[in-house]
Amino acid sequence: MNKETIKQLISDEIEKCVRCGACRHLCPVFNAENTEESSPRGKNSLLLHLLEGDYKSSEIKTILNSCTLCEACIQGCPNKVHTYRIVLYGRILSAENKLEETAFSLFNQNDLLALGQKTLSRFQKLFFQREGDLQSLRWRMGNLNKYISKIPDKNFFDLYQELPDQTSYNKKVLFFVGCLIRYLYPETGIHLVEILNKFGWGVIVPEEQVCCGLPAISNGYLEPFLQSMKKNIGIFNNYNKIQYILSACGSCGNTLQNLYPEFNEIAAISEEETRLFTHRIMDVSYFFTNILKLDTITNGTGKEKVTYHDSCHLARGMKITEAPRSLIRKNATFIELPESDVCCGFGGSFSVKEAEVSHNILKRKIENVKSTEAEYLLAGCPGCVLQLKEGTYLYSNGEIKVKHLIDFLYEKLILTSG
Amino acid sequence: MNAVEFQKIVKNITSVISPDRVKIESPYLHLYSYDATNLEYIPWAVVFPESTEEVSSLVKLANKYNFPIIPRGAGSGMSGGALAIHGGIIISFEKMNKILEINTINHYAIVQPGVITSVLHREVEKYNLFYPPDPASRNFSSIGGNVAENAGGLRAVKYGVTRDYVMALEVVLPSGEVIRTGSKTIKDVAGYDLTRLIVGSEGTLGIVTEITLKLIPRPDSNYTFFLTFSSPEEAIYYVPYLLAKGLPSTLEFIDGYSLRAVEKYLSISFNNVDGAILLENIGNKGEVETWAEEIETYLINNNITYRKATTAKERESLWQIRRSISASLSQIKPNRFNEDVVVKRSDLTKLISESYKIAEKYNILVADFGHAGDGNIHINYLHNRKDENERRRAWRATEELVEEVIKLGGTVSGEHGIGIMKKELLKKQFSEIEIELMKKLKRTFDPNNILNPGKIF
Repeated sequence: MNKETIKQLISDEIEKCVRCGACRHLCPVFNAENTEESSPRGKNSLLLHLLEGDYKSSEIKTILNSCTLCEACIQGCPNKVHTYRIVLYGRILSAENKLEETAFSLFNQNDLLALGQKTLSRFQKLFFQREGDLQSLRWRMGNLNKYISKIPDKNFFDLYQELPDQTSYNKKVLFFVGCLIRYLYPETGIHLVEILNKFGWGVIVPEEQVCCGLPAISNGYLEPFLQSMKKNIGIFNNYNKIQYILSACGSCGNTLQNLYPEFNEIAAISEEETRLFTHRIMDVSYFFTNILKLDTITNGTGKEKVTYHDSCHLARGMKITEAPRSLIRKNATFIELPESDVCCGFGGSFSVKEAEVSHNILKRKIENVKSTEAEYLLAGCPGCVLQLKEGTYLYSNGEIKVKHLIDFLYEKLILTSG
Repeated sequence: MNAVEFQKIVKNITSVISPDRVKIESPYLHLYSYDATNLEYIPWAVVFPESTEEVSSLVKLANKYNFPIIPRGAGSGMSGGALAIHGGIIISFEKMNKILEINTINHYAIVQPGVITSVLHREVEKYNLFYPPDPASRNFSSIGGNVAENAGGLRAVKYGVTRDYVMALEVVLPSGEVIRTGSKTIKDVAGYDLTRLIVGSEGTLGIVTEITLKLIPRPDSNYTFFLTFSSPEEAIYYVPYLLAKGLPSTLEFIDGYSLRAVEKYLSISFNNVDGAILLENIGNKGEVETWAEEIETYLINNNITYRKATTAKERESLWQIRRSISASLSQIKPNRFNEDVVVKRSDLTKLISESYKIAEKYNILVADFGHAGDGNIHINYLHNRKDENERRRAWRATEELVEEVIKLGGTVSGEHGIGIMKKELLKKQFSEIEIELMKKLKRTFDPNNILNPGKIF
C-alpha cells in the first residue's frame, strides 16, 4: 500500500458521497460544533480537494483531527460512505512528524512502557493534582484540563504472576489485555481472570503481546501499527489450539478483528494467518452470554439501577450490543441510556488534541446519563471508562459510579457468592 | 460585482458581523459550495449571523454594493436553492438554531430558522404537542429550509405540509427592512396573506429569521400495515379504496423494482410480490382503533395479503423497508434525479404505467415509490452520471415524464422546489403570463435582484 493506492482508496470512497447531509446529525463532533467542516460530509468534501492538491495539509490536518473515529456517520449514509476509513487513511497521508512516529513505535516496547508506568506512578504527585478519585494535570497547558485515574504502581502482568497457575485448567482462553487495562486499570483484567477461573476456565495471557496499534494508526503512523499487528498475530498464532482470544476493550477488539485484515497485504501476512487470528477474537461479554451462558447461572436480579454506554468500536465495530445488556438485566435493574451509542468523546488522542470538543461531547453524554437516575454507568471499553469517569466528575455530583462491565460483574458474581 | 471587487468591501461586512463569523478563506468557501444536488458553486464569502439585525445589516450592504445573498439552512436541499450560482455571500443559519418558545396554551412554537426539524419534534413532544410535517430529511434539514421549500413529508396525506403549520414569520426584506407577517391567532384574514407567499418562495422574496409554527395535540396511538400485491398496478388500484376508509397519516407505495433492490440490500425476500403499500395511521386511540378494524376487515374481505405491526419493533421493521429504498437503489446505480412530481390520486395508475413505458423507450432502469396517498410519487430513472450517454437518456426520460404529468394536470414539484434543477420544467407547467406575474412579484420585493438570484425562473 503506497501513497498512490491510499489516495485511490480515499477518492473511490469519497466519490460515493452524494452530499445529502444525512450524516450531519449523527456525528458527535458536528453536534458539538455545529459547523459544516465538522460534519462527515464537510470533511469528505475538503479531503477530495486535498487529493487534488488544492489545500495545504495543515488546514486539512485540522479537519482530519476533528473525528473521533466513532463510525456513526455510516449508519445514516444512503451510500454507506466509510468516512471513518477516509479519515484514517487521510491521516496516514498527512502524518509527517518523525518524532511522533518514534513515540508511537514505543507502544511496541513493553519494557519501556512498564518502566514508564512505574516512574509515572511513583512521581505522579509531581505532575498531577489529586481531585477525588481522579487527578488533573498540575500545570494546565492552554485550555487542556484533563482528568485521569490514578496510575497504579503495578501493571497487569505484575498482578497476573501472583495468580494461581492457569495452564492446569482443561478449558482455556487467551486474553488480549490492551494498554489501558495493562497499565491503568489492571484490576479489570485480573477480575476477568478470576471470574473465568471460577467457572473453570484458565486464562492464558502471552506477555510478549503488544499494543493493538490503534493509537499509532489513528494518528496516521502506519509503520508502528504494522509492527504491532505482525507481533500480535505471530504471538497469538503460536497458541493456535486455543479457540478464543478474549478482548475487554472495544477499541482493541475492533482493531484486531476488523482493522488488521485490511492491512494484511502490506504487512505481508497471509490471509490464512490473519484469519486464524481474527476469527478467534471475541468480546468478553459475548463469551459470557454465548459460550459460558453465564446469565443462566446467576442468582437473579439485583436492585442496583444500572445504565450502559455503548462504546463505538464495540457496538458498531464488533456489533456487540445485546450481550452486555442481557448480562446487566440478569444481575441488576437495567435502565436504557438515551443516545446510548453516541460517542463519549474519548477517541484516544482526540480527547487531548481536541480537548474542548471532547468535553462538549462528553457533557451531552453525562446529561443523558443523569436523566436515567442510574447509580452505575457501565461500559465495555476502558477508554470510555476513563472518559466517563472524567465526565461524571466534571458534569455531575460525582455520585454515579463508572465501571467496566467486568468490574461490576466481578462485584456481583464473586463478592456476593463468596 | 465580481469576486475580485468583492474583496475590497469585505471590511464593510466585518464591521457589521464579528470577523470570526465571516469566512472568506478557500477551504471554508468550498464547504458551502454544495447541497444535496451535489453541484458546486464557490461563494465569495460565508457568514454566520446570530440575530435578525445582523441579517438586516448584511442585506443593506448587499443592496449598496450589489452582491448576491443566498440564505442557507442545513444544505440538504434537492433543487439547488442554497447554491451560490452567481457567487455572492452565503448566509448560513447554523448559528441561529434556538427554539425561542413552546406555547402550551396557544399551541405554537417560535423558532429560529436553523432549528433541525426532528429536534423541534422531540422538544414539542415533551409537552405532549405535535409538529406534523416530517420530510424524509427531518433528522438533518432545518425548519428554515423546510419553510423556504414548503417541504412535505410522509404524513402529508392526513396532516398537510409545512405551509399548513406556518402561522407567522419575521422576514428581512431584500431592502433590509424587517417585517412580520401573519399572527399568532388561529383565525386571521387581515390583508393579503404574505405568510403563504413567503413560504415556498425558496429564499427569493425575503429572508425568514423567525418562524411561528402551529402545533397540535400529540397523537397517542398508531397502527401500521404492510400490504403486498402481485403488481404495482394492483397496489395503486387499491389506493382510493383504502383512503375511503378514513385518511391514514401515511400511505406509501413501493414498486416491484424498488422491492427487488430492498430485498438485496436487507437480505430479505418478498415472494411473488411486485408492489406494496405501507399504511399507517397515527391519531387518538379511539379514532385509529376503529380505522384499523375497518381496514383489517377490508383487507380480509378482498384477499389482500398483509402484515400488521403489533409491537414497536415490528413497526420499525416495516418502516425499515420503506426507509431503505434510497440506499438500496444507490447500490444498483449511484445517481438519479430526485423527481417529486405529483398527480391527482386518480391518475396514479396512468403515471406509473407511463413511467415504465418511457423507461423502456430510453432503455433505462426505473424505480417508482413514494407518497401515493397524496399523489406524490418519486419516479427515479437510475443512472451513473459518469456515463454521459446514460445520464442523457435518464434526463430525456424525466423530461418526457414531466410532460405527461402536466398533461394530467399535475405539478413538476410537490416538495423539493424548483431551485435551479427544475427551471426548464417550470416553463412547461405555467404560461408566459403566469411566469411573468411571478417575476413581477419578485421585482416588487427585490428590484436589485440581490436575493438568491437565478433561482426558480
